[in-house]
Amino acid sequence: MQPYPFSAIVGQAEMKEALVLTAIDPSIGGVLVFGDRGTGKSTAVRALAALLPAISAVVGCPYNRTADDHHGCTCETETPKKEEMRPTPVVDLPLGATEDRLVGALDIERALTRGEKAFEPGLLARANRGYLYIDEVNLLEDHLVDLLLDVAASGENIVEREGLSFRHPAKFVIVGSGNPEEGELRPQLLDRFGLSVEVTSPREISERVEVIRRRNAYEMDTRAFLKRWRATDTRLRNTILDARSRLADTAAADEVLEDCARLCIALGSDGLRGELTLLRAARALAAYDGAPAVGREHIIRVAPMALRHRLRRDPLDEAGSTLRVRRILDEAFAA
Amino acid sequence: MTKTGVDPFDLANPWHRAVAARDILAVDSLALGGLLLRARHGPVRTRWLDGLGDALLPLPLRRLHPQTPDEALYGAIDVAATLQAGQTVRCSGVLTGPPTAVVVPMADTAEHGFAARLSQWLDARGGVAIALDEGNDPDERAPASLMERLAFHISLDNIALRDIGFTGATPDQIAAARAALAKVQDLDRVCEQFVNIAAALGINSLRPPAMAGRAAVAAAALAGLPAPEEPEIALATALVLAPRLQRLPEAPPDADSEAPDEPPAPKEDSGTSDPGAFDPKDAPDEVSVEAAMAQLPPGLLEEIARALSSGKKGGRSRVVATKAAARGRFAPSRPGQITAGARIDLLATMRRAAPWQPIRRRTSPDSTAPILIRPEDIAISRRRGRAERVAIFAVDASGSTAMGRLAECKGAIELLLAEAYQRRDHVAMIIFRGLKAEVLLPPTRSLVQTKRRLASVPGGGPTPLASGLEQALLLAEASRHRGMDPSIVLMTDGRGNIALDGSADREAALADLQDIADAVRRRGVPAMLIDIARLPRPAASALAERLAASYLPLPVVNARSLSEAVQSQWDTTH
Repeated sequence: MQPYPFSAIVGQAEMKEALVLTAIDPSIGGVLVFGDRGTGKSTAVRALAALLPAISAVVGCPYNRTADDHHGCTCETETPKKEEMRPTPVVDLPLGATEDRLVGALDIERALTRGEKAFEPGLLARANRGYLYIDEVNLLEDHLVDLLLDVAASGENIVEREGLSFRHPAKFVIVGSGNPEEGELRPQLLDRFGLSVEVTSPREISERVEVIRRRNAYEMDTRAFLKRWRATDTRLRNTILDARSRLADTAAADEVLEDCARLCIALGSDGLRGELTLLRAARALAAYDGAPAVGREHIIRVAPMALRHRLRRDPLDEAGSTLRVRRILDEAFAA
Repeated sequence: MTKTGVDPFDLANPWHRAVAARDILAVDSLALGGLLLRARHGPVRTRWLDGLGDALLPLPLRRLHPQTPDEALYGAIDVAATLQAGQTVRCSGVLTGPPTAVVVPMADTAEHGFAARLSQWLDARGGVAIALDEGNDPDERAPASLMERLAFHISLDNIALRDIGFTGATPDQIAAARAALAKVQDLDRVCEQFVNIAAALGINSLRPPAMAGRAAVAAAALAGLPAPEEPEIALATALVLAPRLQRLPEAPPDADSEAPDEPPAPKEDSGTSDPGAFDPKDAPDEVSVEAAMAQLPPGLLEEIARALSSGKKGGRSRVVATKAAARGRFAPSRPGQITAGARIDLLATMRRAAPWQPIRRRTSPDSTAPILIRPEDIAISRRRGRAERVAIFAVDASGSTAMGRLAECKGAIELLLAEAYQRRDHVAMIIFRGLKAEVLLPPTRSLVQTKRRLASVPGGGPTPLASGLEQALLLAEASRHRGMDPSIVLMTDGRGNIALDGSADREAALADLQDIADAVRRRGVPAMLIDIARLPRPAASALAERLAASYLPLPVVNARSLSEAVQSQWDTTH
């Protein structure tokens, strides 16, 4: 079944914006989506993949590598020069997946039948240059989350086990979703996601009705529905592509850097990660808006999603972190 | 109303509802996802299941146990057969093949991982799932992610054998309804109505109203109607929305028109007050909601609300009893079968195969494989995991403590909770006051829930200490059952005055307390007693001794040193 069109998602502006920003600049890091069930978290992620342009990769290479980058790849394709287009990968990581399935392992099949030592790529290989989606990331076993974030940060998957020594590029954006009622992520892991958004069901009855109406239209006649939204999706895709090409030229003046630093100090967020993410997200947003340079308004818009999960928090504090970010934004930029 | 379709059913009859759910599911299986059947094993359930296979045809019906390994779900090479044949032999997976109907027995024991895989499959419209929840314990429910995706939640409790005569639609009628499905009108209109009803019932997710819409349309197809009418809407409400009820609608339909000002509160506080929650006052279209409510069998919603509030600890936060084998230090490998999550110890396997090579070579001279490995050589590496810990707080909120110490006590608990959170321990909480103890929080890692519940703890009343300790013990046993490592932190002044049977008999209360304390000690549940009396008296320290628990009087500890003490206690007992 074709995924639901990204532009047809009703509301959820912040989640959509966060996903689009990582599509413009994957180095922003992962996105954490926390909220109720049935609010369209998985729909949005799958839709994003369909929205993004296809990538070009060597025919038969399970790591999605390009021909230029294919040197030293162990995928044994017969045509290392020939490329094909494939959709941007979005790989679902199911809870309870084993480490082997994630990072790859010895190819048992070949070891047993042919006595060869070969590597069977795992989910991380398939996610290269795309997205890795983990629903209920808060229930994923801690050691897997550690491992994932390590790979995501380094962009490379290194496997050393069972006499196997292997590495391959694994550059992907992690999108994790979950419901905080069912358990939370450790703070040290939270901090390693680039952006974090909170989603709730729409409050307006009319908006809820519209969500279901569109869903029905999509399910009843998928082709017609996709056709109706194709133009909007194409426009969005082109905007993202334009923004990507503008990204390097989007300047950030010293005042903007100062703003970022001031904000992070005021929030007491540790380390430079918050500052970097804030700047990158603001830059991506500026590029998306077609602005020549990053301005304070961009920072204000991305600050909640870039910083809310980095507050040094009292785990039993009642006030929502979004509120705290807003308060500090107001204070910092009041003058 | 003239109907050309199947026999009309009686909405007030639970067996009829269960059969109707089965038939509707059969008409539009993939869109409805499936069904959760809460029933004990028995003739009623058997009868219901008997009709299932025929109704769902042409979908093949397969049983899928929650412990089914990935190999069987997704297909994999069959190692034993491959070794035997010398060439790759694959077995196909249940979830990768053509659309299938799966019956999941003991869905209440399913782990999140399994639920996640099924959910993914259901989202992709891969098939339909019938989850059987044997439901012995209200705390044990199928994982929420799975329940969310199954349109119907029905229960066969309290249905007698003589009531199960109604058989519902015949396979031919179902097939006819499937053919008519595309012609049924008004999906959007009924969906709008269901959005309103869902909002009035406090249901936040948008999946239920969407699924209710599909169910009403399928019911209309089954009844031979061009569009869903009131009975279909009532049926879908009863089958899809009512079981997910979070609160009773403002004015119960069967009550007098003078609705009480105070909204009924089916559950004091179990997560309905989240920020995304809906304020029913400003929005739902009251007319359509009331009309639908009026169609429901009287008392249905109240019954569900009651069940929810008595078993409210359940459902939301089932604990993951993680397979300890997935992490931890390596232990020596041992011979075994290749299953999900098992790691072959290749070296050990080779070592086991090595001595036999000359003999095997002789018996199969044609083989070109460099090493001849047989299934019996396979060695699996094991890990020795650490069980997850759960701290069970049993807190005295009775009058004797409420006056002076409850606030301080809450402060200390918050600190302990925060630390438990950092250590990734699970936390559970029991409050005792009045006549009985209550499990305020089942084992969870969620701080959001914990702090919400803690804040709402009222104080006052007599002290059912024995009941509090009993609940703690039950919870500890249940946690052990799930492979966790429990310890009890009892916060009290040690002066119980309510016996287990609820009578205000000091003597009996003491006797009960001592019995339970002995039981705790015998079962070796590590305990710690924190005396929260202003002036510690011997009662508490005597109880600690009886429990073989360490004893900490709160007056001499501040919150910080208290949590340190609990920590060191943990480290010595585990």
